[in-house]
Amino acid sequence: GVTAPEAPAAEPVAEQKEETAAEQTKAPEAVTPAADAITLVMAEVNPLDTIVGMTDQKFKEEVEARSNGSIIIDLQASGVLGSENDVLDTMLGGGGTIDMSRISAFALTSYGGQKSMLLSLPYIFTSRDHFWNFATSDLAQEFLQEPSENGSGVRGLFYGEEGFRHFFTVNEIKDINSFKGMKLRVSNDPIMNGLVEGLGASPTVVSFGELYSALQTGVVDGAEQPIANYKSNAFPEVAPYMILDGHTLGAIQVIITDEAWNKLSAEQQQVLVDAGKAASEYNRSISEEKENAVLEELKADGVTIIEVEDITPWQEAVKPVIEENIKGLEDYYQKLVDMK
Amino acid sequence: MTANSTAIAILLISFLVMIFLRFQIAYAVALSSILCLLYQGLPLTTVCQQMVKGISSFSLMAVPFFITMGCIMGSGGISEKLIALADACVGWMTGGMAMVNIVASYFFGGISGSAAADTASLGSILIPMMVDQGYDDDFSTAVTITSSCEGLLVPPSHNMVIYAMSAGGVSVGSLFLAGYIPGALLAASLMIGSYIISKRRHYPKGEAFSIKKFGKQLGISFWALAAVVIVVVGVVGGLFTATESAAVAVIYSLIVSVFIYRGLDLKGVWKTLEQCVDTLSIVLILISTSSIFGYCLTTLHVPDLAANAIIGLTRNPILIALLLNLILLVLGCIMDMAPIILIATPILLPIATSIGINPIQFGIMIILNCGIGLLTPPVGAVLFIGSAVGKVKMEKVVKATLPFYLCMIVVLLLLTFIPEISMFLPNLLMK
Amino acid sequence: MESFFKTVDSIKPLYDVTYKIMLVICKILLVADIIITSMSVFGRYIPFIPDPSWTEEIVLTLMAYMAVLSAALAIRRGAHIRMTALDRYLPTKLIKILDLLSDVCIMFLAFVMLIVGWQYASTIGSKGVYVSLPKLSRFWMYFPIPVAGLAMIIFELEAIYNHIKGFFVKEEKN
Ligand code: NA
Ligand code: NA
Repeated sequence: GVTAPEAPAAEPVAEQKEETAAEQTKAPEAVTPAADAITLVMAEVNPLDTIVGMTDQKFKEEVEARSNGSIIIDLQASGVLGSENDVLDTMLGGGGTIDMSRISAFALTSYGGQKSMLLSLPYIFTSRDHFWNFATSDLAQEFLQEPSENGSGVRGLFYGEEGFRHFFTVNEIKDINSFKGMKLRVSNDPIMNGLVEGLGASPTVVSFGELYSALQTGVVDGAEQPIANYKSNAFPEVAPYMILDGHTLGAIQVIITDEAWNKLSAEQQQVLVDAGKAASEYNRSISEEKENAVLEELKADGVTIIEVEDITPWQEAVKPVIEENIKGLEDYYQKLVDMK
Repeated sequence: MTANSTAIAILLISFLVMIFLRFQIAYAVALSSILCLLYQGLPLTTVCQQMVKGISSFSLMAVPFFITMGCIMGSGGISEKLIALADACVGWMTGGMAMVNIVASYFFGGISGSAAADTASLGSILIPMMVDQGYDDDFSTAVTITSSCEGLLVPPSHNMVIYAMSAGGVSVGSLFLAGYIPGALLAASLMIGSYIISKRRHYPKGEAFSIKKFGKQLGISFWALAAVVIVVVGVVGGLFTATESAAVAVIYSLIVSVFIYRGLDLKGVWKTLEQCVDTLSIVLILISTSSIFGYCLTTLHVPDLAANAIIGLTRNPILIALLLNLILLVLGCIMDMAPIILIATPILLPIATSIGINPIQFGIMIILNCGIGLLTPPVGAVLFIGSAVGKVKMEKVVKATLPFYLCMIVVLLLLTFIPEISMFLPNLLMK
Repeated sequence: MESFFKTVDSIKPLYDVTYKIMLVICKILLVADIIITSMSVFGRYIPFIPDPSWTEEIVLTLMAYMAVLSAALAIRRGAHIRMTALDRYLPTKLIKILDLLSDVCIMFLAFVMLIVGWQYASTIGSKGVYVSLPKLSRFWMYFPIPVAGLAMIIFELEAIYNHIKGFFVKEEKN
């Protein structure tokens, strides 16, 4: 027969329920919106409890507090507004429905973002500090202005990162040589395809939604993701070997449309810049910490984590593709490499 | 009334009015979204962007491919052989073909993981088959679309992957395991429903079962059956993904039709493609324009509003559980599955766990609720595909589906109040 | 009046040809999609068959063209799904008026798609390229919308004309 689920006593349940629900829907809103507040819709493809989601949340809080409620950020997470490219198409095509977005720096590549493309070249950043040397430099400011200068109609506010991306596989791997003959799922960008070919593996197109099943059935032997995404998408269940090659550091940035930017007063614009700085610092403080915590959890769950002693052969494998893709940008490339 | 709720009202009311004024649904959905955007003072570029985005999903490609496969199998003589085999196998049973349809979806829909793909593939073969044997077309379509929801529950199911992510890292493996029994329960419930209806409508009973006849037909349909085997083995064995299997199935059915059964020559194939395009012309545009509508609902925070409406309404756990289902069913009527899962999970899951529902069990509930939503007017992708593939008017299908909605609701209630149905396998195997 | 309709009716063959050409295009697009997808599967296992990284994006774009063009064809066939359950309770005349109303509204939608769609496609086209094919402008991803708008206008003109003709021809018979 039909039985009710084992529920604790009704009273505390209802209280607890209201609390959690309130927490989930209305993120801590210490600031009451001003009567004439400007609402900026901000898109995020990941859930709020990820490194990037938390960074957005911090940015939202900072903006709302610093502007005394005259700017409200309507943060729509978990990709409800579409994939990164959908969101960019909306923002760049003058959609008006999305004002801001957190994107991976790489996403701007297909919209003429040559400088941003450099940030996601394999093995360009050798450590976190290396990246942050860049992110806090004047060069970063120049990079952030690139889309606006290109006439794309958006501008960057600040940089952050969501950790290094690594390869993971279904079957046991030991080192770079283990990849020979494997089918690896990477995004459809030519540079990542070049990297995979450089490893002696074949790049295979599988849409992200089918990736779990593709790993489970063996359509592909492996894929690559940042550590946090690897765990949150339950990939360890089907591909429990991860090699920490850190091919790219997931550089992220928050962008705003020129249209929204110009709606703001100079004061409000400064608020966004300052809030961005704070969010960027916050991002730096949590990303390494959170990534290490996830790494420990993965180890505890029985995932085999393989350290890479010498990164040189990996760098060698991808050299031809990089040279091919940085034509005309060699100076910037060198500047970035030298920032370590 | 706030500006947002006025916009929502404009969206929903204008849509319903247009439907009753006999507007073509594909365009009514776009027009009401345009009204809503204009009211909000937003540029109409959203329309263009969402229309393209709506059809730009790779897993959706299984639908046109499977519909093409069905057309080719139909005119190439493959379906004919499968009909004869099914007749020899279950023709003696009351409602035998309905049972075949339901069981086939458990396995085949399980592979594709998509109710739309399942209806497109099995529907375009099985509906003509059932009609051929004397079943009413609306009943055949109703059985097809409702049983296609089994595919959402039986792994692999990419909607479960979406849920796992939005629920904050629930084990996909456990969710997959949890789906087997609910899928079977749904199949059983639909079988009982079809049996009763078949009995009442005196649906055909063929000749008595003869092992000889069965053996003969099995031999004749070897190549036809191999199509199914190729898809299943290819996907399970990791040769290709579920979506890709659809394209491979087209190529295979083409080869068998042209070179082995010789029911088609190349000219015939070209002609058959016209049928495919005719069916696709109705289905794809609906999926495309519905996505503008869904986008408007999303940006207007409709799922959040709906979920918040039930918070604090009652403290009775049973009522809360029922309300959770109700919210999901209502959202399912107007929105597609993936956006509901993405938006509603973070809001509803804490409520569900607070009354003792396990996140895995809740995942199964959400999937079935949204699955029912795919079959309901005014916006229901699987209903539209079924109606197009079966060539039956939508409202006729809805009417014939009424008893099956009831079967599904019964299963939903069982899943809500008996956690063991979902949790038994994961508890047993994922320790 | 009758002679007017006769003159206009003489362009019907032109419509038949347009319909046929568009149908052929749709078929080719569908076939191309099936071939490209299969190619990427077989290319994984057979060395001489290519398995390029652009297959997914191109398949989706071709399907978008197929979807919107074939939908315009369905207008001519009157095949789109609509609710006709109430028809038997409504007077025929009202149904005809409602049909005209819906076709006029769809004509409006078609113009929105043509104009806004063109603006959008050319704006984004000047800014973006396909991820997997950096040589291909993103214009082509959204170009299906204005194309569909145009195709819809063509077939809606015919549909609206037929409704109007229906009013007159019937009156004359009465
Ligand atoms: Na499935
Ligand atoms: Na079925």
